[in-house]
Amino acid sequence: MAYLIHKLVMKNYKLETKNNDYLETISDFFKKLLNKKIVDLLMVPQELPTKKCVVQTLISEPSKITNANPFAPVLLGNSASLVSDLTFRSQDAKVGVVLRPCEIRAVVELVKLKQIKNENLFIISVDCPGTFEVEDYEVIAAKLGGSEKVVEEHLKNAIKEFEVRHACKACEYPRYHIYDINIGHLGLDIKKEIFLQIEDEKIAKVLDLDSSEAEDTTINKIEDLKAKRIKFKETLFKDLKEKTKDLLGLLDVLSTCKKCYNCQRACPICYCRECIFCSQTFEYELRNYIRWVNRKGTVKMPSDTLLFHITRLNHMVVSCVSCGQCTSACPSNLPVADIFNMIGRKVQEIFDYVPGRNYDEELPQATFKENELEA
Amino acid sequence: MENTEQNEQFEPKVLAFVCNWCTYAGADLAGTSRIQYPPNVKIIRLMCSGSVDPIYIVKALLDGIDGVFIGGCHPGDCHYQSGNYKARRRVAILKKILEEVGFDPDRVYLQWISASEGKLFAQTISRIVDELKKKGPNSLKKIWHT
Repeated sequence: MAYLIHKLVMKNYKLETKNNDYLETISDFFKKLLNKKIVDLLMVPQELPTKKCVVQTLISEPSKITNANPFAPVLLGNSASLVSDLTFRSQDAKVGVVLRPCEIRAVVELVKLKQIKNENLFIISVDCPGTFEVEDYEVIAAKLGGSEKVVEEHLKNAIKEFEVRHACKACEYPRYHIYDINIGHLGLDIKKEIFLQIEDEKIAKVLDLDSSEAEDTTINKIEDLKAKRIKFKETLFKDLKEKTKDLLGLLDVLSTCKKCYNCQRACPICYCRECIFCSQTFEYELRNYIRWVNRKGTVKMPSDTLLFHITRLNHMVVSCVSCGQCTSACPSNLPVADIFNMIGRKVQEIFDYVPGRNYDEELPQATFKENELEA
Repeated sequence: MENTEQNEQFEPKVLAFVCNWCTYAGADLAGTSRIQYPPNVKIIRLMCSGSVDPIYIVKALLDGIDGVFIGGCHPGDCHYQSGNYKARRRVAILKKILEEVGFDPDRVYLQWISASEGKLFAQTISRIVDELKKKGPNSLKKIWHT
């Protein structure tokens, strides 16, 4: 609700799409950000020359924005990790980044974890109707001939052979409330117009944008989508709880985990330079294995699989933003994202904490109250 | 009948992570005062309850320990100011995760015991061993595909 009120206070600015070419219109907007020096460097999704995928690219010269498509429903990973790379060590230039809601939530958490320094960060958020797995997107793009057509079909809900990722279907944030500029397009015909929501009026002036007195028709679409996703999330969690109602159920679901650590690498919140599981702590002597074999009779190899997942839960689930990159990265296609999403919410409820909600809330594991919890 | 017999013979194994300044001293006091308490507990001395990494607790439980006890200074009296506050939050998060994962969270005990509370230490261990005897052995002792 809070972001909705925020939105009513925010002014809408209209980008009229020229010649029905929404890609050119949005590219012009990005070029203006660089030309008018609102940002020095821009990280923007652009289509690969082979059209297989749309990936984040770093640009400083406006003329290099040739294939920008921030609407393309595909992500190679959670870009918050990229933002950390760009801002963590030095902040010499104003960096603009085009991000989706789950990525912005991860950015907020990483700022709190001191892994992103955001003094010189300019966030451009994009409404998100959900993304496909990279391999599915490749097939769709090949069939439709490129990202421009994929976006048009996706916004019409006309892509039927593949579904968006589970994490997207359960995501309550098709639009986010933390940004410098939001590209609000859900519910609009982007071939005619695209709405921008801009925090700072001065920036709107610099970009020569007139505020639109037109009613924001996107709000209804956002609320509808949100309601649909909350419903899916409830069904998803109910089904998952059925499968994992006891420990043996969970072990069954995770039984083919290869301990490849892809989920830990893909996770934007898991930022440890060296995961404890990759450190010397887990380089056991043979005599340790012998002791465990004697104790239990059988030791599954590789060992400590469930320990890995429970430890990852202990370390990061309070900040889990449910982006689902863990499952997307898993070679065994385990429902790690669903499990972490479900358990994450329960743990976050203890502290009434919502990851990414705002910059001021302290991380639950970094603070305490004198009187709380039992004992 | 057989089960009750087995349960009566079942001696739970408890691992205790206790803080050096309060709970360990309390345990020592219990010893010097010759207060009897069950021998089922293995005591591991750490400098502060705040240095108990949840991974120690989880590893022990997955390897089959029947119960884990964390002992620290009373809130406000931590030798390192705020270690026990952090331990309290960590244990709360760990217990919620264990509950959601399908493992009995009540096998993890958190108790504040000061250096002068030798009797409380003995009572706590007795209570824990009694409760664990009723719960039975940790099923993970027999489960190897973790």
